[in-house]
Amino acid sequence: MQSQMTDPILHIRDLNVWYGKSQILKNLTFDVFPRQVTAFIGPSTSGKTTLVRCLNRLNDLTVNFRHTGKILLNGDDLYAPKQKASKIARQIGMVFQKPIPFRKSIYENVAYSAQLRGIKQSDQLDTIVEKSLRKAQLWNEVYKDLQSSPDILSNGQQQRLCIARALASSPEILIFDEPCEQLDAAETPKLEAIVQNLKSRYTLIFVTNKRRQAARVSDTAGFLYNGELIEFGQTEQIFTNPKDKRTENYVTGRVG
Amino acid sequence: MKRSKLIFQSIALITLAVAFILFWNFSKGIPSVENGFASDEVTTDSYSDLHESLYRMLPVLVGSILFSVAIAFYLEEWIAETSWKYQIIAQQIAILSGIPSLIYGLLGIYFFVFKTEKGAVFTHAITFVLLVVPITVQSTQKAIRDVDIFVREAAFALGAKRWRVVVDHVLPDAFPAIVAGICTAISRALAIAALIIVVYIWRIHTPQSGEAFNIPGSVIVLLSSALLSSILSSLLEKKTNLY
Repeated sequence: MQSQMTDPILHIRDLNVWYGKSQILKNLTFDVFPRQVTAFIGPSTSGKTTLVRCLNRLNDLTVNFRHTGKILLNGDDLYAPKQKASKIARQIGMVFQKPIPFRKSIYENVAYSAQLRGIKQSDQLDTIVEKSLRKAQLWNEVYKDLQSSPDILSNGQQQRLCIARALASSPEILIFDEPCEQLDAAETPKLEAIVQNLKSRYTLIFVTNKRRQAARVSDTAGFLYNGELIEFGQTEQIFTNPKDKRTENYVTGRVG
Repeated sequence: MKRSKLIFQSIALITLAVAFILFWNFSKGIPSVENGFASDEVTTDSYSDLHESLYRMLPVLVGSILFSVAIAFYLEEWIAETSWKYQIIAQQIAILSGIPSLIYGLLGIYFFVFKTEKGAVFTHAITFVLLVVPITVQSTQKAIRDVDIFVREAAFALGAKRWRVVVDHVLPDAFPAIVAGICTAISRALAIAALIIVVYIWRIHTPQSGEAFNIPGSVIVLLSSALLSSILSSLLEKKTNLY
C-alpha cells in the first residue's frame, strides 16, 4: 500500500541465531516499515520470541547466544561494537507476555523509564507520566491512585501500565511479545485498540500465536515455522491468499 | 572430568593456605604456646587483652560481610556461570562453607586463647573471615538468584544499564534475604566469640570440685545476641518467602 513507498525503519538481513549448538533462526531477511503493525505468527517454538529479543538486544543476557547477519535500525547496525545495548533498548521498547510492574508506585513505574533517559525535573516527569498513561488508555482509571502500588490494578491494567512504561522511554519501535496471553477476554480488545491508536506515531511489532488477532491488528505479517520465515507480506494476502502450502495450513488452522 | 579437576585444584589451594597459616604460627609460636600452658598467673590485663582482640574483630566482621556481598553480586550479575572465574570462586566458596563451625571454633580457641602474643591480628582475622565469608556469599547468591528474572529483563528492556538494574531492582528485592543471611553469619561469629571466652576462663580457673564456675556476663550477652540475630534471620527469611 502507500506506506510501502516510505523507507523501511528496520532492515533484517540473513539473520541466523544459535543458542549453544541449536539453531533457532535460519536466514531471516525482511524489512519493517514505519507506522505500521508488523505481526509475527507461528506455532510455539517457531522462534518468534527469539526474533524480537534480537531486535532490542535482550538476547545479550542469554548465555550461549550467537548470531550472524545484520540488523539495521535507520541504517545503523544494532550489533556494531560501538553500539550500547541500553541505548538500543531505549529506542526499541518491549511489552512482555506477563505484566511485570516494578515494586514501586504506579507513578514511579512510568517515571522510571523517563529517568533512565536522564529526565529529572518533576514537572517534566509529571507530563511524561500523564501522556504515557493516556496513550496506554489507563489515565482515567488510575489518575487518583498514582502513588499507590500497582498491586491494586487488575492483570489487564497492569499490562497497560507496562505499555505506558515502555512509551515513557520514547521508543521508535515498540515490540509486543504475546501481550494478550495472560489477559481475559474483556481486556484483549482494549489492548488491540491501543495498538491501533499507537500506530500513528510508533512502529509496532506484534508477536502472537492467535491467528485471528494477527489478522485484526496488523498491516504486514510474517509466518515463522521452525526458525524459518516461510512467508512475509501484506496481512490480507497472507491470510486470504498465502503462497506457501505451510502458511495456508497454519492460517486455516489445519496445523498448529 | 573438567569439574573434578577444578575441585581437586580448589582443595589443593585451600590445603596450601591452611598449611601456610599453621606453618606461619608454629614456626614462631610454639615457645609461646608452651609458655602459655605453663604460666599460672593470670592477670585481669590478659583478660582485657582478649576482649580487646575480640573487639578488634568487629571491623573485620563488617569488612568481610561487605566483601562477601560484593563477591556474590559479582558472581551472579557480572560474570557468566560457565566462565572459569565463576567456577573457581564458587568451588572455593562451596568447599569452605562445608567446613563445620566446630573447626573454626577450634581454630579460634587455638589462636585467641593459647596464642595471645601481640601481632596475632592477622591469624585472628583469617579465622573470622573464613567463618563469615563463605556462608554470607552463598546466602547472598541465593537471595540474588531468587529475584524474578522477568523484573530484571523488564528493566533491561527499558534501557537500564547493568548497575542500574542491580541498584534499582535486584538489591531492593533481595535485601531482606541478604540481611537474613548476614544475621546467620553474625550469629555464628558471636557464638564462636562466646566459646573462645568460656575456654579462656576455663584455662585460667580450672574449676575445683565443688567450686562454682562463674560464667562471665560477656558470654551471656554474646550468646543471647547470637540467638537474637538467628531468630531475626529466620523471621526475615519467612518474610521473603511471602512474596
